Amino acid sequence: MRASILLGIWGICATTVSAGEVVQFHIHGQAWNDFGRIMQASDSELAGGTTVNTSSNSMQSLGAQFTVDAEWGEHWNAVLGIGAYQMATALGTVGGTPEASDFLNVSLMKPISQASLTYYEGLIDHPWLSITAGNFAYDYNPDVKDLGLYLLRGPVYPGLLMSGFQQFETDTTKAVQTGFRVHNAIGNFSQDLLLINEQELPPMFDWSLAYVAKYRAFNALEIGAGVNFYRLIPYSNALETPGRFPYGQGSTASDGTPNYDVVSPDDTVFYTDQGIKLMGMFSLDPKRWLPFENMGSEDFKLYGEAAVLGVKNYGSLYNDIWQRIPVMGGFNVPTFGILDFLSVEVEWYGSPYRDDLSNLGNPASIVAPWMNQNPPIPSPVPVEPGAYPDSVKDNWKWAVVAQKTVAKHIRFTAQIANDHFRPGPLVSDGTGTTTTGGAASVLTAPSDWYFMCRLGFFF
Amino acid sequence: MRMSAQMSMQTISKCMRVNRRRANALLWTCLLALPGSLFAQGDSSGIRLKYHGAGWVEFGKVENSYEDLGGEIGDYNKNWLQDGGGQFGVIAKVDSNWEGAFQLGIMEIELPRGTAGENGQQTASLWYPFWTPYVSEARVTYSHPVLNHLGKFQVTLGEFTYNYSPDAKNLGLYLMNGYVYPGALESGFGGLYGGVDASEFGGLVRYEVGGFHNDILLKTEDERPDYDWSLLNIASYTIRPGLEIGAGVDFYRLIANNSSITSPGTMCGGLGYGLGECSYTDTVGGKVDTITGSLAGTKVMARFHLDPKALFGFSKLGPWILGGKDLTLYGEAAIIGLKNYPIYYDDIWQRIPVMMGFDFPAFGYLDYLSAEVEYYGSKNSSDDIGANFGGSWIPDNNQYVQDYNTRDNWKWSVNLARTLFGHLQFSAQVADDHLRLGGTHDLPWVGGEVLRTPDDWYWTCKLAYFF
Repeated sequence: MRASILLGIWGICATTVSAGEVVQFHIHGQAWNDFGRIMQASDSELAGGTTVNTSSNSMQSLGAQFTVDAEWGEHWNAVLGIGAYQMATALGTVGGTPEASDFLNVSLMKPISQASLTYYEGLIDHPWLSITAGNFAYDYNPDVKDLGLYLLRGPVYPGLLMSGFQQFETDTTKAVQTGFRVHNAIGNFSQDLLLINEQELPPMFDWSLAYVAKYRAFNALEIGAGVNFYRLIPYSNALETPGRFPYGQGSTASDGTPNYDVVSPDDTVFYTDQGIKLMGMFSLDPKRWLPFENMGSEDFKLYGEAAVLGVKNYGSLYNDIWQRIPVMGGFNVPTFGILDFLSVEVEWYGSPYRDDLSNLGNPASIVAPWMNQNPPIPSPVPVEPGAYPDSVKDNWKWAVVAQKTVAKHIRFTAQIANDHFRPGPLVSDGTGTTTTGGAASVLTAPSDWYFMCRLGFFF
Repeated sequence: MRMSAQMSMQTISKCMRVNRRRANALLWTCLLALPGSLFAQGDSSGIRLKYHGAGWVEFGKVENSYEDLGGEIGDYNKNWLQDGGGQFGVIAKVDSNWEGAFQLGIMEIELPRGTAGENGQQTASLWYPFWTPYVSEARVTYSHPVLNHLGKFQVTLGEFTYNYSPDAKNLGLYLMNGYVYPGALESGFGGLYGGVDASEFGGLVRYEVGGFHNDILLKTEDERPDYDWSLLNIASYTIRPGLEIGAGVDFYRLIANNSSITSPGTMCGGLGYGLGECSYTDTVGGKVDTITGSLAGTKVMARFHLDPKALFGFSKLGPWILGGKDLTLYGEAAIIGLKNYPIYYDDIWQRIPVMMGFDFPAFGYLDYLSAEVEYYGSKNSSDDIGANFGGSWIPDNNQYVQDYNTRDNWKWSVNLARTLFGHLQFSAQVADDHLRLGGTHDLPWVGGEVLRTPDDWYWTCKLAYFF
């Protein structure tokens, strides 16, 4: 946030410095309303020692944002966006007792939706070189509607995946990265180098270095690959390997799982948040070879992505690389212009661990960071490994996403899915909020699913 | 952000709800007062954009509030009120049929702390502000002319503002605000609960032709338990220019998100403090019955608007030129729950609030100078704490009602507003209404009424700039 504001000020100052030149402003805006329901959720959040089951619980939220895009000269572009997103809580039963959901117990996300400054060479929409600094949007795989985007979403150790309805990572109008990006494009080849600051998951403020390269062939097939040196430059070296903390302060995670592994009397492995992700992706658009008429621009697209979440095997928790390889595939079912797209996505990920972020730090920090001002030390181990035999049941994930735009500016979006949705319950006992969540994915069985729909407009 | 680790989320939630309602009040005020030509205009991809915004400061004081009887309930006597904020919005005309609009803002809340704790005075008037961003509107509207453009059919989806009685400055609007069981009324300054109404999330289908106007709303509830759906139909008919009648029905919480919460049977845990019970025993007649019920219920409403200037075609009173609202008489009555339950809801006449308002002639010196009076003969507690936090449809076991077996049936409000230079508005209110301030540090008393005796009153005023 601080970086966003500073960079926003930088952008304003840059405009002032160049006041002699004509500055062109483009104003964009959007608003949206979400509504949906968790139809079946087998697992429960373990929030603050209380079990919260969100099954059969409705959800509702709304948001809006303004974005000002300023151009001056032939090489400079700045973007500043402000907005608010009122996310509803999703309470089902708390400790076995039905709990009233509370739309007004909300998380207000992304008050600054973008704040970036870009220097570019070439056309602004397709520069051959650009350098961006600040809080910016970046989506290396725009085919993805829900599942995937492994390279820049989620931690490495433990290798937990992130997804959900209309997450900001799949939206190019909302910043999800803070730091620097260098982009280069030569013909059908493009590459991006990113130095990004961790502002989502504890430990915060580490710097990761990522690289993504893509090549487009035959105007139909795009292939890409990337690497992410996750938390390469830590904010605090000590926080990366908590098992080494003096006096045993960080010897165990919040759930009691040791942050180290004694392999032999002379060999102790210390788990770390740092790691390397690898990613490969493809997108095939066969329309040019198909005989049909009136095909929509997204129809028939087949796309996919796979990643290695941590190339290094170590300790007893991370000794099988095949358990750290998620694979997803998607297909845009042809709708011949009736819809913008109708996508079906499927994912397989053979991780044996609970899909829960809570060991990464303060579970409350995801929903209500003020709830605990003395959070535990972030841990790189999964939640209670071995204690959740059901964890293997959630290896398969799926999502069906449809979108329709009318009158060029009104958009309907709907999704049915069993994905990595992490609702954020916020439990009240009548005298104040005592339990928070938002760390665990609640869809952990094949029979689990939810639906969401969105009505919005944009300009 | 100054926010304590123990900050009550209920308080935040309530404040956010208040923010949206206040913001909408301001929006309506501004839009009604502002000529369309003054809107800043923009263009993007062929759509027509109208920007609007506002900033305001509000200031006031609770001059007299009921005595604290229990030591834990906040005493707001002599407590200052203060807040300020700003907001920005856009109306986007996509084409002749489609329109979108959104509005977002931020508001500084100065919590009226009152007193709390055994010693009573520990936190009085403590400086305790925090900032809250909000989205008060996010809608898409489709309109289509009917009957050769004599009428209009319109569908709105999303978060939208709605107000069926624009005359009301503070009291009234019973159909949209407050629980049915318990029938606790809501009102306050600047759309806090009454006056101009709040945002609604859901859908609105409107049909209007000639003087007839009908709205069907399907909306979710924003008081706990949330996500229940209510179905409303509100109609009005302009008999002649200056004379309008209206009526409506609200099938409140018709579709429950979780029926075991909305209609809890005997399984409600309660909150302690004598609140939040969900069933009780009726022993009248020597027979012991366990009474269960529901937060769901049916409200009906009727209202009228009488403007003798338009009705009889005059615009002066002697040599004095009358303002647009001068001499308007308006009123509203409702039945808060058609169904009787033993003991607490056994007399439908005690569930009928009635309000009347009159805009005194201000001859253009003020936008309006209104006096509103309300009578509501309920014998139950006016709090809705048990409903809000315990899901209870039973009146709170409020100590004031219990100890004194009485309550303040009469409410009143005097409001005025004056717009200067087309973009600056000053408004003020003196009232004994259903103000619910909340704000105690770690107690859920945000549903408690502050003004309960005939001696209680407060004043507040607002200075706003808008474009």
